[in-house]
Amino acid sequence: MNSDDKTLMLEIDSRLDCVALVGISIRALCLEYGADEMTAYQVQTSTVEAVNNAIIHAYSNQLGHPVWIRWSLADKRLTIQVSDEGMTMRQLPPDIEPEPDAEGGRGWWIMRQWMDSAEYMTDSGRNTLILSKSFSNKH
Amino acid sequence: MDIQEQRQGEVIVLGPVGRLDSLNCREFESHLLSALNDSGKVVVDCTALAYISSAGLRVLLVAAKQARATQSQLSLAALQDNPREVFDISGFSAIFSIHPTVEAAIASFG
Repeated sequence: MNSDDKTLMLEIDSRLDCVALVGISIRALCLEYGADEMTAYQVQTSTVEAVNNAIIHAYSNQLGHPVWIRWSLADKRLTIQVSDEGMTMRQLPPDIEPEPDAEGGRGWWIMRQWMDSAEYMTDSGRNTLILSKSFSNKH
Repeated sequence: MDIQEQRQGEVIVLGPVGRLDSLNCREFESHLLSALNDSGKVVVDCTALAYISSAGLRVLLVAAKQARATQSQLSLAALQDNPREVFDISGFSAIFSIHPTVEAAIASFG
């Protein structure tokens, strides 16, 4: 790891009232390391969608389970990893814009549109969504 | 969440303050659907709406469907830059009638 690389780990309980704190923290980190306002907002929103999915879908909105958020910046590439130990997604939503009347699927659509990539994987019972995006940092 | 509510003639103006997300979307949905039932003409004043997630978008979509089914009228006003980006990326800018001010939204009801 390069000495200029930055990493922060957050852990929250699977409670929706914790999600805003994660989003605010992620946005602040992005702004601190050179993202413009809109990029920081896009990363914040994408992260919130990912954490919401972990709580609502992986843990069925049950309290008392861990959600981990790893923020890292290396070589001007931002990576956000959101991990849980809940139910694994067997199939990802299709990468197409939801129909106008569709009430679901917009979280994934937003993440895919605003981040450079959104990859989902499972290893040893832990599900991880990896979001990445390039931006120029000032530090 | 703080939801400002005022009546201007037969129009109910609802102003969500701060964040509209998974945590509070049910509360806002209840207010919004009740307002549509009560008056049939509702403006959501987004002046103080700083953040909206897909859960918040879903509430507006549910309300738009109810408005369509009951021939009520629903408009949005004063959407700020960041939430507008979410609307644009989600295709919601084409679904909703969005006006620069509450007054313009009310005037659009005719």
